[in-house]
Amino acid sequence: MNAIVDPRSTRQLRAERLEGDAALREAQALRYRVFSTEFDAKLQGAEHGLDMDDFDVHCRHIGVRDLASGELVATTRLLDHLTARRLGRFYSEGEFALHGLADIDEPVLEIGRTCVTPAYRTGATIAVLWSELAEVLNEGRYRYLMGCASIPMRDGGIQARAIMQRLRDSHLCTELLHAEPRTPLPELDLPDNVTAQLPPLLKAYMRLGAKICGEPCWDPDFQVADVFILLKREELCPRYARHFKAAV
Amino acid sequence: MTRVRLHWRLLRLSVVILLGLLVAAALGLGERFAPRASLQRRQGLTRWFMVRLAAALPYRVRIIGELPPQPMLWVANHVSWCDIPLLGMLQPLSFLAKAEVASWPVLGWLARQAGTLFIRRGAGDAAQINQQLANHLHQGRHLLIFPEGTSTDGSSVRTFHPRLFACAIEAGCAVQPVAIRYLRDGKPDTVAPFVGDDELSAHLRRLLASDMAEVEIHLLPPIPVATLSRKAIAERAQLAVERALSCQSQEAARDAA
Repeated sequence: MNAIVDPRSTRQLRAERLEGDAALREAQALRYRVFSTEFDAKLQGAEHGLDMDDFDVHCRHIGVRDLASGELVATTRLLDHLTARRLGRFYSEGEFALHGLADIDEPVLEIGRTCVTPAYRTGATIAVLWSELAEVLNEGRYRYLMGCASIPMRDGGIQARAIMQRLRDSHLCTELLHAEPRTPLPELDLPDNVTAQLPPLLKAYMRLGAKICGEPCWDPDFQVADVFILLKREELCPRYARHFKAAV
Repeated sequence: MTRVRLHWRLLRLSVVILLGLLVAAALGLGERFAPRASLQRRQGLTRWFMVRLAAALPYRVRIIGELPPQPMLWVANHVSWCDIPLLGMLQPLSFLAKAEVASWPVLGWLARQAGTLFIRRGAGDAAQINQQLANHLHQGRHLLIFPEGTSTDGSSVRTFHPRLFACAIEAGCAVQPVAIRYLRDGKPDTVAPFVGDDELSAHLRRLLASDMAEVEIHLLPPIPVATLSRKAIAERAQLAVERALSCQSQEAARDAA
């Protein structure tokens, strides 16, 4: 368990593993609230106020709780390579053809459906969540962490395209894994001298030393572009990796 | 080297403008045979042109914030003619220009073909202009105005004229404040501003002869018109733009680190 005091609000936040049905419901309810209000997304389980899918019961779920209110404020879910093999695929493979995945014979952990309540979108919340993630990585001796980060597409894709122009130069690496999107972004005309700000989660991954493994996949239901990211444990950027203390 | 670069950039820009003229001419010709080209088509072609024009300018552009998903009244501070392609490439937009622009050679004609709306300074047709702008927004098209009414050197923001905000209330659509800032080596760019009596061709040569510089386009949180008066909206938009321009470029500094 990791606890931290958010200096901005003296909030007491604590990471925890969400185990058991009740905790899973709590995570699904949080995801529903965040995804349905922000993305206006069509969600499976919406009639119960939950965001659920077939992967949920096979994943490990971790979260961050505000100790004062007892409210769950952030969550993410983790799928490991052994489970993925049993299920036949990783979750991301629904959006990407992952060329080179079969040749990786070291432990891989996939992260997905990360969300944070708007009022808690601070570095502190992410740090607490990631310290717990670090422990999971460490315990399972995972060498790679992979997953997706989203860029909003409600603007028709300008931000996504502008961000990709920057990331392609600085963070693209397809040597180990090449993620080919099943639905590429729609065509859009934009000068190549334009860049845009990275959304917080994507920026956090890049600062940790993650690479992107190809072009984004268009998710029209969520109106986002999903970028596939891969983080190698030995390439964790030391300046930001203190959040991953146990894993380094 | 600088001369070669200047001429190369001038050539590129000329080709883009020539292309623009051809497209506009085709649009004009098409109109004689077909019903009036829709505003949507004009805006789409204008954006196509603006993308190429913006790419031919010696600037690296950083977009900060999110583009509005619905049509809005965009209000921006005004520094240079470069503002027009740099903002016009983002969305199919129409602009509001002073009436003189319509009679400028070449550019005036291009502006008219692009679906630009024109306003006569000081003329007593405020209600009519307001209705025209509101109609435009009603059609679900983005509209951009420079509510300072003139360009500045970018170091300060002049009063946003409330009069021009009435159309947003009339059309019931939100206002999208935009702050545009030109930076050279982290300091305000002195080449970009096109103010007062500057002459276009001299300014163009000066701009195209300089090194690449940066432009930040801050898309600030939209202001819902709700029950606000046009004066209150104008003040709010102006304040938002001033704040964005006065805060140091922390984001840029952090990203560079």
